[in-house]
Amino acid sequence: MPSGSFTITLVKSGHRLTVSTHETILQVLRNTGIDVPSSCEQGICGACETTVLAGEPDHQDLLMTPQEHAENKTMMICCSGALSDNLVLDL
Amino acid sequence: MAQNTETTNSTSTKDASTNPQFSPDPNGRLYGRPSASHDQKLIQSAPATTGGELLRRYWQPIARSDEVKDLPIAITILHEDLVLFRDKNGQCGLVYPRCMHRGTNLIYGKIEANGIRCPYHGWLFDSQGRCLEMPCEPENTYKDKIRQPWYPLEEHYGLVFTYMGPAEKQPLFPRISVFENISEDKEVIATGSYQAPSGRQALLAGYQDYNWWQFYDNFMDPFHVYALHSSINGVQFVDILKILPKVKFEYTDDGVRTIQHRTLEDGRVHQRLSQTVMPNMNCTASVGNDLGPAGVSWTVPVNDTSFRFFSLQAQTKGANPLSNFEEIGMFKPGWGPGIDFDDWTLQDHQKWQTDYVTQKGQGDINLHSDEHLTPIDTATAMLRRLFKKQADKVANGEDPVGVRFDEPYLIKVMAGNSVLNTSLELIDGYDGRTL
Repeated sequence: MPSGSFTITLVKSGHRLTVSTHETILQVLRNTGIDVPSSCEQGICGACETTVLAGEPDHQDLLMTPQEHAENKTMMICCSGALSDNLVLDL
Repeated sequence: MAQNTETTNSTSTKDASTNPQFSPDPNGRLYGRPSASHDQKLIQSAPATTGGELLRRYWQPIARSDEVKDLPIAITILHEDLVLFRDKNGQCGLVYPRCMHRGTNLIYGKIEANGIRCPYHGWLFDSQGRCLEMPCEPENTYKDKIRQPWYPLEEHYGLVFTYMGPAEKQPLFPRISVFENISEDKEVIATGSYQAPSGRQALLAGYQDYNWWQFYDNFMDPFHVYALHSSINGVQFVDILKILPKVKFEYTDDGVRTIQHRTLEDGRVHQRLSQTVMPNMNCTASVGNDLGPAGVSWTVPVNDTSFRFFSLQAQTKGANPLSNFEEIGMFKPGWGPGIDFDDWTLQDHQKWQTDYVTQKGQGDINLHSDEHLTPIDTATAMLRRLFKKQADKVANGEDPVGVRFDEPYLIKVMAGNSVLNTSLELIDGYDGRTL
């Protein structure tokens, strides 16, 4: 489940979007017409793994190692949220 | 057909390459569906592929020692055709097949005390490809400039292993924990696929005529035991494995493991721990009622659509490795069509579905973009991810996990069957959780 509402900044496209409490980052991107790879949408397959340039993700996936979660270099956008107010993503 | 160099798990709604007007049918009709594709970084094992270069950094088994006798053998491994031989002094050699003179295949070579002699003009090569003789011109020192391309070999536990990677990255052969300090009454035996007493059986047959990942994926799949092996066409293994397990999926230092707990009627817990070790090893315990540690196995690609499988198991000296097979459901009278697995018809396979058809049925090479993984597939996803990350390390000039040049790497086998009490403490068997 995603945590409370937060914003995402997409460095390549320039978008700044809000992800509200009942949404996932993936849903918000789709609703904005941004096409990103995805498959299981459950945090298992890794298809949606996205590079995090700033901010602290709230990892909910089952796939990354504890060390990878601590490093916060990438996240699974189908299921994970944010502990910080904003995430800067390499999209 | 679209061939991609990366994972293609896209659920993109547009497939402009086939139909610019395409929108998916909201009720899932097949019309216009984009074509599916493989995960290339997973399935490829040829030279200069990321998967192939990872596999080449480790010792790989290629034959049982007792297969290499008095004639050369043609071996294909990781897309490379090779000739394997044992000279009369007992030393094995593995060479490029085409004689460095004029190309005759050394499968026709004559085995001698010190090596293999090409039958065409008699050039003699030792087990590391050095040319020892050119008998038609014994004064010619040109032989000292000739080397038949070769790979190093080591024999351990009754298997012949080769290392096919760069020379400066050749690791020491690893240690295997469960084969060290075994009791006097035990020995380690090697098997490839083998015959049951009554002929080739479904459990053992493993035609192996599909991509190796479909076989390797399966070792991290505890839930297919509940469906395929227990409830689709009867109990293929034993009753304990009919129970739907609670499973933990965990990374280890060098692989992935599943810890499966099945609660028995009296409240004790049967624990089955299954393990994979990078890049292509698995430790899988008996599927019978016996408790104890697993052995180790390797799934070795021949090419992208076939593989070989080798296993090592520590067991009582002289024991029949198939001695627990009477308790295993798929060997009992009444299960299966009652004929040798090689002779099964399509209808036999449709009524008596096995690991073979569920894996071969995914295709000669699985189309990963078609998949929809769920939580029961977590360990399979972890295994694939770890493999690709290790392959990336090698591609970036780093060493992968589990290779050592100064002293041998110790492979810690955690896999095995055990019984625990209601506090999950060990009562009997082999419990590798804390290794």
